[in-house]
Amino acid sequence: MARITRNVAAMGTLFEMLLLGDDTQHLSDVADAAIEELQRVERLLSRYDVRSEVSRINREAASQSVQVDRELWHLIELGASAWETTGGAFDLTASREVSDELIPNSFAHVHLDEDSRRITFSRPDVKLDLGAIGKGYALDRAKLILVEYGVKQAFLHGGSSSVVAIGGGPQGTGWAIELAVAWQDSPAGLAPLSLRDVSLSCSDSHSSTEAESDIIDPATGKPIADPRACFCTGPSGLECEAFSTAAIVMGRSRAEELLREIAPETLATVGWIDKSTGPASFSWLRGGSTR
Amino acid sequence: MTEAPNSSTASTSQLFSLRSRRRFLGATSSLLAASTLSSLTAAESDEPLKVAVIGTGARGCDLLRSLTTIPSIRVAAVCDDYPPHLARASEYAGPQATTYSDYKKLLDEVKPDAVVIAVPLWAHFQVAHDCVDAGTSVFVEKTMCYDMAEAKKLAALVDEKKCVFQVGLQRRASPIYKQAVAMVQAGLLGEITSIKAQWHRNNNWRRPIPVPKSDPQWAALEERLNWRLFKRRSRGLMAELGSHQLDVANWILGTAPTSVMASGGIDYWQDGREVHDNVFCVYDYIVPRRETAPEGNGATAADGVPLPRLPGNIAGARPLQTYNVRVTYSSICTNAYEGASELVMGTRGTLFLTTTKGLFYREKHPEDPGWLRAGDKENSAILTAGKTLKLSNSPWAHRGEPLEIDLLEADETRDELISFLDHVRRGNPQTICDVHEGLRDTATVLMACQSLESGSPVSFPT
Repeated sequence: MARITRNVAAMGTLFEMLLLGDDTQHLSDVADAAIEELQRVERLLSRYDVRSEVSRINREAASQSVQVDRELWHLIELGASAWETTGGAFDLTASREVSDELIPNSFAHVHLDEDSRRITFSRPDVKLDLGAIGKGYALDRAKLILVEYGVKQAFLHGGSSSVVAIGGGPQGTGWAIELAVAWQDSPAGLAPLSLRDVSLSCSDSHSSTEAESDIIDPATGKPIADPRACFCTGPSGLECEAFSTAAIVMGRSRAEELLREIAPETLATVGWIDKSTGPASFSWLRGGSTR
Repeated sequence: MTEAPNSSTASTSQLFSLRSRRRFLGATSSLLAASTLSSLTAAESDEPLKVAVIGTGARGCDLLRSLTTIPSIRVAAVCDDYPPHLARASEYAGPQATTYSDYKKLLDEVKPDAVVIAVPLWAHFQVAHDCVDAGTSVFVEKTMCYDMAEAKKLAALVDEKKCVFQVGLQRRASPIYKQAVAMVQAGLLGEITSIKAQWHRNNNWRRPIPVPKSDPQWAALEERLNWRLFKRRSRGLMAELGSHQLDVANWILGTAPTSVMASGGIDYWQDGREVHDNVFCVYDYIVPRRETAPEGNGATAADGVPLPRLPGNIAGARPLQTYNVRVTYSSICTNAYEGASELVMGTRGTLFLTTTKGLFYREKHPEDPGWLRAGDKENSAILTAGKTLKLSNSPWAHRGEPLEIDLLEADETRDELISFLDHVRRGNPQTICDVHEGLRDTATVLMACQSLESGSPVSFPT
């Protein structure tokens, strides 16, 4: 069996992919095309690139309405919908990376006109940061290319927190993943998961290296206090990433409440970890087979 | 085939159900303040310009996406004869854009005000010619045409019809390149004597084919999707990449080359391709010598700033009105160091240019003050010290750090389209890269292709 790996630095992290198949040349060409697509999405969304569409919006939308292309508009609208559904916990503008001073509930200052696809900010210190869904979306797009070109077995990840599994892995029993959470007392990874034709996203409120969380609670404008992590699987990396990001802001009970409204085919499994679930273990909030 | 950005997985999700959209406060207005170069001015009474995109592969979809961010125009139609590309274009253009696989039918039924053409090189002439003939304004990707006969015919028709026509050499819209040219014209580099340009990448320049090699459709798809690798469809690296940078050289020097020697081969990616995977060219230019910086930008003859001169002819003969410049160009597929870049070398300074960075390095002048400062009285004693004074080892100590051209926040693809559409609206055929610049660029590219084939120097085609 032919095996191709690729990696690229994008969106401030490392993306890696592993493809399996019969034809090395073909796999190689498809992998290159998938890398190009990751880079295309990065050019659209990156807040680090002054020439990206998101940078253009951030520069101009406070002084004039900015017309957006359909792809980016779709992502912003999903962000707006998620903001409403999660009661403000998911907020594309609540990011320390783009604003030093955060206004509570800043997304309320984003105005969208869907007829003309124009976005305006009613305050100059509002900025969009699509980091919360960028990796998931980029991986969804890369997956489309792989599938379109007939790749049956592949594993992709971005920054080790967003994952796409195509096919059932080399042994056919699923691509094996071990989850790890930075602030867990036990250094061991959590129970392994088996992924088959699904996306996975993990969001962790704290990293071991920083005392303070870099995730902001949009309601207060302050970092989240208690460490927690959420992971979920589903067909869309974009939606998994949005949910897991929102869930750790909302906290367990609000996340469970929201889950009751979400169709099961959107999020197949959801797992939750915080200091109360005990070391090296997690709670299934939805789905999940026994370890 | 390729799933749409607004895929069905999103619409079934309750997390992202599209309920209760926030509305833009107040009535929407089509007026956009032209506060920056990146805006199009349009009065409220102006009808949106009707634009069509013909050829929606990778580049075509990039252009299309940019078009959808420009107010006061609407993308009325998209056209491609390869269904997956057309489907992708339809997602970017939206449901109100009609899809076509036959561009002639599009011209006939849609009657667009302007078309943006990004079909493969071999088809540029046919499509562009028919569009100009039909009376639309035309933007066509570089290289303008596959051969000189086509290019000349197209130029003649554009002139006859007074068509608003632009070739997609987007560095003409880049703030970095515009500033670089201004620096050259102001004399900061002295006289330009050489330019070294390259586009080096480390990949096989292939697109994947959606069927396996054993499939009977593979060969046709290979020729369609990898058209850049086939001689009858492509002019290879020179036409796809070199065209941009040789246009920069022509722009900076203000003239076209007189001759070229080129060498290349298929030495690494031997996968059945018919175009070279590495090319090297030496172009000769004869450049008019200027006494002073040109008028314009507020300067007049009275302001005449003398340009620094090349070392003079010691024998005292009459100074020449022109001088020779050589431009070297290379494009390879096996190493990506310094990617796509130009090094503009002048007697007083050097510019290193890419689309994201511009660096100016001053050359050391023999009479640059060292310890003898300007203004010291002629007869004053030169200071000496008992201890040897140390000079820094830094290479910049006597030259100064390079000056970086500020990256103005602009996307040259979007800006070249905005400029084109602005000219269309005003009916002004003097676009930032008109058909004659396109013709000159085409000739510059094709003469190298000819030299690559023949192994001999080739003169600029008449």
